[in-house]
Amino acid sequence: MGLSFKNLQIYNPRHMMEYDLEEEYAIIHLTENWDTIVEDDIFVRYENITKEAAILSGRIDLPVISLQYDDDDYLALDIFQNSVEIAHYYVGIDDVQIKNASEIIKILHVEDSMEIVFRKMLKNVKYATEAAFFINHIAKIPVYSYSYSDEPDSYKFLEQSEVLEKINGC
Amino acid sequence: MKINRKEIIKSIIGESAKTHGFTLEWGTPVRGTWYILSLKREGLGQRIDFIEDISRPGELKVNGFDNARFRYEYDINDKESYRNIICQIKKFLETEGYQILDKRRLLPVLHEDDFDYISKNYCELSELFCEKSEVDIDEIKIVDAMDLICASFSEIQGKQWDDIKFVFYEIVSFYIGVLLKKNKKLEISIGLFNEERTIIEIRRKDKIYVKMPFVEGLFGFWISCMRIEEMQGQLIQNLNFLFEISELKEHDIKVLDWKIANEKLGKG
Repeated sequence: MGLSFKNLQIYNPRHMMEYDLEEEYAIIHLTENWDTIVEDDIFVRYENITKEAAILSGRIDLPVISLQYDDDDYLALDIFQNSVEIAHYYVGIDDVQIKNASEIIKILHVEDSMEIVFRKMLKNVKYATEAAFFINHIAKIPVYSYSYSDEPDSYKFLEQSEVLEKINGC
Repeated sequence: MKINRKEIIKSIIGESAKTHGFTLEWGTPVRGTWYILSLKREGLGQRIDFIEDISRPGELKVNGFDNARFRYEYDINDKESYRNIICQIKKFLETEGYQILDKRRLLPVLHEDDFDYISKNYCELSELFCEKSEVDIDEIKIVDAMDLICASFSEIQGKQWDDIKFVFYEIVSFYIGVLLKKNKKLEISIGLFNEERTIIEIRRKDKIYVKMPFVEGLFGFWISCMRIEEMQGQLIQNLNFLFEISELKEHDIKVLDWKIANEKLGKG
């Protein structure tokens, strides 16, 4: 059994903007710039978290990224703005689908110096494990927020040089 | 009505867990199972999990104390009843729980040196094991090799780590040797994607996401003095994880129900 998780990510520098969520969800702040929204109750029948992302993006004036990762086999990243899906990136077994790469890069706030690397990653990565790893470390989004420590600043990203080293090793 | 489980647990248990050196790691629900909190600190078995399962509403399970599993019942519509069970758990941890883990912490653990030694010498160590056990790795059937591994662990259980560690390395290396010899679609992977220490995994060449770190598991056979039947069961699980059904049948290895179910779901 591989790893599975899902969460929403919203770029909200220093968490300045405040908004409400459905009762079953919680916001956690693992990094300075990203609000991470996770499920926070088990005895509730969930709608698809992507649907929650669509609804939330209609209520707030920010794009909402939905991340679903299933059994180390499949990664789905959907981006919603005003309740409409404007971009996506899916990596499954022998299957990669990208819609609107430029928008993905913009909304993930990938640094200029890493844009080319990120584009190459979108194009060349073949496995969900690698895709999640690179989104996490290149865009510095706390993708793996299914489990988070109580300590402040506990969520660590690799340095740019280390990421590049990993890419060259693949 | 929502019970703010994390808030309640944190307010009752958080501080005292930290004073015992634990860090608090919170989890989110995954596929109907929710590891709400894991208390962790350095060392062997230094982990206590608070778990709820969607199939058992109103039950909180606390894992981390060997085979003992603690289940606490509460009313899902009553925050106070949740508070009460967390207070009971706090009392248990402070009177017994933390002491159990303190004692366990004194047991030996695997270090980087151990992984490093195995990763560099497993071919020679496997040959040495075969020589001592008078076994031909080309001839032995996998199921017999697994039985031999279990019997070998059984012989070293209860002995001091320093006295048996090289035997442990040999058994682990034989395990690697047998798997690689009998299934050409398997390979050993050492140290990939790991920032802190050497990781040794067996993985499939045709599906590299099918991979299994196994050294710690085998170490557990020794340290927890596992019974032979339990070890055999675990090794069959491992083989089912790594092998295709056709490969399991070819080697007369029991095909487990979950393997058949996964095959039907197209997950091999």
